[in-house]
Amino acid sequence: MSFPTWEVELALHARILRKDPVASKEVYLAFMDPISRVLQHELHCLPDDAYDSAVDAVLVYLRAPERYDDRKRLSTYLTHIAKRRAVDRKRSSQARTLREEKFVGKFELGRPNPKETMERSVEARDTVRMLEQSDLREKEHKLLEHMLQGEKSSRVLGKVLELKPMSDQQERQEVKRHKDRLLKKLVRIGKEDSDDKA
Amino acid sequence: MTKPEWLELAARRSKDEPWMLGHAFAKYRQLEGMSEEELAKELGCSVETLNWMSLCRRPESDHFKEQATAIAEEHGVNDRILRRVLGRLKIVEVFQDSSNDGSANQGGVLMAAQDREPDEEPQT
Repeated sequence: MSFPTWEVELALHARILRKDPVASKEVYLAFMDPISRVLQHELHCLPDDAYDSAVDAVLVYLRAPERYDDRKRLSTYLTHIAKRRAVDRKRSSQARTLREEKFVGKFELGRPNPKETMERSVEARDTVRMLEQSDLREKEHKLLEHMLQGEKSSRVLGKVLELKPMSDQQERQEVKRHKDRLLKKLVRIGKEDSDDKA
Repeated sequence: MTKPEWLELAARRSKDEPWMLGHAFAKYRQLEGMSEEELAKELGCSVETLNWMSLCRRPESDHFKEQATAIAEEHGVNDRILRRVLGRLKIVEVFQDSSNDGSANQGGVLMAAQDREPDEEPQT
């Protein structure tokens, strides 16, 4: 599906300004597919991220349609917003992955090194013992287990945490909150353990 | 109309936009303790149609009847039922507003009451 013609865009924009109640649905119909395709092809976004960014763009326009200058193409305006949102999404996802990798790195065993095998199995045994004796709740154990297995999807982690139904953005924030809390607990447990050894 | 992959996501995101019908439907469902399926059944449509309607602008007081009818016709839904659902929600919102600011918003209640069906019994 391609972008509508300029005439169609202008007619749709005029209906939006008149607050025609059905016009907003038609904006979704006209722009969601072509914008998502641009994001997937040009920015290599995953379909879910592309759809999220396209919805962001449509909502930015629909909330304040008067900000759009109709001397330019509406498709260009919307695609520009969607691309910016997609880039922001990628950056925050990369930063999150980096943070998680650093954090997981503290606990994962990695590839076995013959010289360090013995030392590492002792470390692993101690880590497991430490976690078993910790005050981590069952859900936190499950969350950690999934994270150690490389799970990064907020939707999957939200299910693990048995979060009630909520918007994607709220779910991401809620999962992040749980992860941050778990990280703090793990840091505290690690600190307590090293204090005990000292 | 083929159901696009993004429809459910877009409908879900509409719940956070007070000017969208999706927000009104979510509030009504919360008020009545209804699932999406139950609301769709009350409106006599499928959940997919409910999702499409969620992407529409919520009818405004000045043109409530005309706008609700336009949405209902577009989606093959009974406009009286849609107006009844939205009218009931509006009445509750007006009462909530008046209890929040501690004063009775009589004008608002009257406006909401005017949107009710003539044959509808007042809620007690």
